[in-house]
Amino acid sequence: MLGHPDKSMSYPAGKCLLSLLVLAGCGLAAGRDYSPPLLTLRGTIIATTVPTPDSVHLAVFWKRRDPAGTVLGVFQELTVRAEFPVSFRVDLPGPPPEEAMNAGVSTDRGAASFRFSTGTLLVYDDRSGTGRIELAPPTGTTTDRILGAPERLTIYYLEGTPSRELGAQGVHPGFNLWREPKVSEPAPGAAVCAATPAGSIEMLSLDTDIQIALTADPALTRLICAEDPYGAPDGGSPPLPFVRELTCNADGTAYVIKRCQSPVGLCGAAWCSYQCGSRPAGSPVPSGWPCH
Amino acid sequence: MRASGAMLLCGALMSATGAGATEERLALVVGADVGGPDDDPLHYAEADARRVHDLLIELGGVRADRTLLLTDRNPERVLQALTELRGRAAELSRLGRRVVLFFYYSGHGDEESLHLGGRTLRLADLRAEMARVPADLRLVFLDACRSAGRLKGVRGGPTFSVAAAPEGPRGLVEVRSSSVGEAAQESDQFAGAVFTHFLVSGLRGAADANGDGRVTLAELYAYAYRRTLLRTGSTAALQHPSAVIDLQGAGEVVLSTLAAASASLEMPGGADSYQVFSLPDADVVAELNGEGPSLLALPAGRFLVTRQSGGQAGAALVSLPWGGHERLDGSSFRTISREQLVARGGRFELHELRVEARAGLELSPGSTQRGAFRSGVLVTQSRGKLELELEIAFITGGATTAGFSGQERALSFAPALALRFFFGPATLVGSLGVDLRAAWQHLNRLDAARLAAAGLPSAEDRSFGSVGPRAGARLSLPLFGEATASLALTASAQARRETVPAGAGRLSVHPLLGATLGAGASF
Repeated sequence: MLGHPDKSMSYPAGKCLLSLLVLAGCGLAAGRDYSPPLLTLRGTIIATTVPTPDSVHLAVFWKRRDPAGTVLGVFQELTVRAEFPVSFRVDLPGPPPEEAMNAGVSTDRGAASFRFSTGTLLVYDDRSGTGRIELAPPTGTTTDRILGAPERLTIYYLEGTPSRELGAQGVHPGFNLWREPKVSEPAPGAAVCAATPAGSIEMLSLDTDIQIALTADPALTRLICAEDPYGAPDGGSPPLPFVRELTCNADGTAYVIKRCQSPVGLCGAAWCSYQCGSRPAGSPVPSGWPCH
Repeated sequence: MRASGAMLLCGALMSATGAGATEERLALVVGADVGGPDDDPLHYAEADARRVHDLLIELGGVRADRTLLLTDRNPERVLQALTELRGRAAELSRLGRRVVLFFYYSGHGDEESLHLGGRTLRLADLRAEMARVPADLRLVFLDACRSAGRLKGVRGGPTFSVAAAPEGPRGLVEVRSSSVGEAAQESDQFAGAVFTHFLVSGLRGAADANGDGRVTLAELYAYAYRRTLLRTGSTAALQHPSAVIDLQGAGEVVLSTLAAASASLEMPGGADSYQVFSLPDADVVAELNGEGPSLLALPAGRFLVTRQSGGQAGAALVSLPWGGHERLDGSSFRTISREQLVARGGRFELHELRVEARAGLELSPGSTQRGAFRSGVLVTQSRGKLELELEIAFITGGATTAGFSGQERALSFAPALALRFFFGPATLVGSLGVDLRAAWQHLNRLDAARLAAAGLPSAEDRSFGSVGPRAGARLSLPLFGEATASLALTASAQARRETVPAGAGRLSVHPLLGATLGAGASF
């Protein structure tokens, strides 16, 4: 919970005088509530376009695809230190929940398998007062309101030995932080009929200052359910039915059909595929041509 | 000092244990440290009365509810008590019981009266009131200065003649601590009157001349007369006990039965002298001198036995449990200096050092280590009721935090000052001290395997100190020889500094409750 500064007490060195009487001196014991974070992320609120509630929470939304390709999400609540709205520090108390882990597939011969999970940091308004983020499946809306998320920032957690490709990107076991490139959807007549990343993944230091704008944009909810830019798992194909969206160019000689999986799963997430077509201007319109 | 009365001895002594009616015993025991206005206060008269009172119940066949102890220095109360006993005796007589009445007095007196609390109780009134008690036999012991006697039937010697008869004797026996013109003496060494000391010692077995386990009036008088005379012979005032006998019938008057004791102690034979002190108060309980009886009937408890053999002195420490019997031999005694024996009497402890191994459990609700196994060594040094303790213990057990589980171990160093309380053979020790600990934690994260696969640290080792007050109670019971078993309970509050997410740490206090069983020995 934010807005409640840490009230840890500090004791002068003289108070360890009694402890010096014993052999171990002034060491610190672990108490019943001892659970130091595995990772502490820090960040800054760079813009606030909505009133900030008194009680603001942070969570990591870890994504996993099940064998059918459905995107599932698992939230990991975070302990927040420091004060909003200027800066914050959040502690990840442990690794991603087991149910958020994906089995990694390495193309390297003889390479060991690995497991991973990708996560997104979310700031939300705990409207339900339960102390944890809650979605209302399958509509994709939240009982709680998501206020913001860092743009294209992914927390990547890996157990085992990363594949050669991941290693080449600078991914190592444990926690990684990267910024994904912007993705451009194919325009009718484009040479490549696929969403195209504009650039490559940028590996970030774990102590990177994470900037979050609190916009309360409804699209944020969709963001956490958005398509994985790396596509479906091998051998997977999106189950029917699809939501079909057609885009034609101005003269009807090129089109893009975007087909997205119907909302299913925890947050109604879907992933999309694209079908593109074009014909020379003035040529006869083929049978079944979608654009007129 | 007490003045003495005439030494009188009347008639032949006969028995109260013959065949016939069941015998019931009543007793009135009176002690008064404060006598008349001109009497110096006595130190031990009331204590003597309590000793005799307890002994009559322990060995004398008198039920506790038929024994009255008066130390309130009130002559009227003495007469009222006799009136009360008269009613009880009448009731018992109606039931066909043979009634024996004991009367014991320790305090100041003269030829005509006893002195209690600045007033007098005329002996004539006392005897008249006792005569009204419908008892078959009245046994009167007066350990008072200048106690006067009747001229009739006086015998000054230490022995009685005993006649055999089918029924117990009836009448009056009045035994006095001194004769006319003599002082009845108190002894700081005995913490009591000389005569009563030998009276008690004799009843415990020192007077059992024939070794049949029963002390008769004849045996007791002979012993008390001889020992009192010998002991006071080394002082400025000689003291001759006397007895007045006015009896009919025959038989032995058995005053104590050694088998009724809760414990017994047997001395080595020989001509040595032994004194038995109860511990830790160092009161003289009994003594044996020279050839003769070697068995003493004692209550359960701890005793110091001193021996004087020629020019040498020795001491032995004895713990007698309920029903216990200990037989000492020459090897039981540790040689000590005569000066030490004389200077300190029974006020020392032979085995002041005690070592005990102990093991048990420790609970700490609210701490990382809720339960732990505790084992260690307790070393104590005793001096009277005081005791210094030092326990060194190792504590080990599981530990859990919100994010870790593992082991926590500690080395405890706990000095304490203790006070000992003695209840028969059992010793209850209450202690107060500090508990200093050096502790170590080895903790593994709950997801250690996963974190190891992720290359993240999964374990922590910590060392720290803690300190806090500690209170304890320990009950020790003798096993055999110098070995004892104990049950100890401790309560402590350990303060330690615990880590917090930010800052230098916080002071945290955890309650600790411990229970241990131990076995040890004194050296």
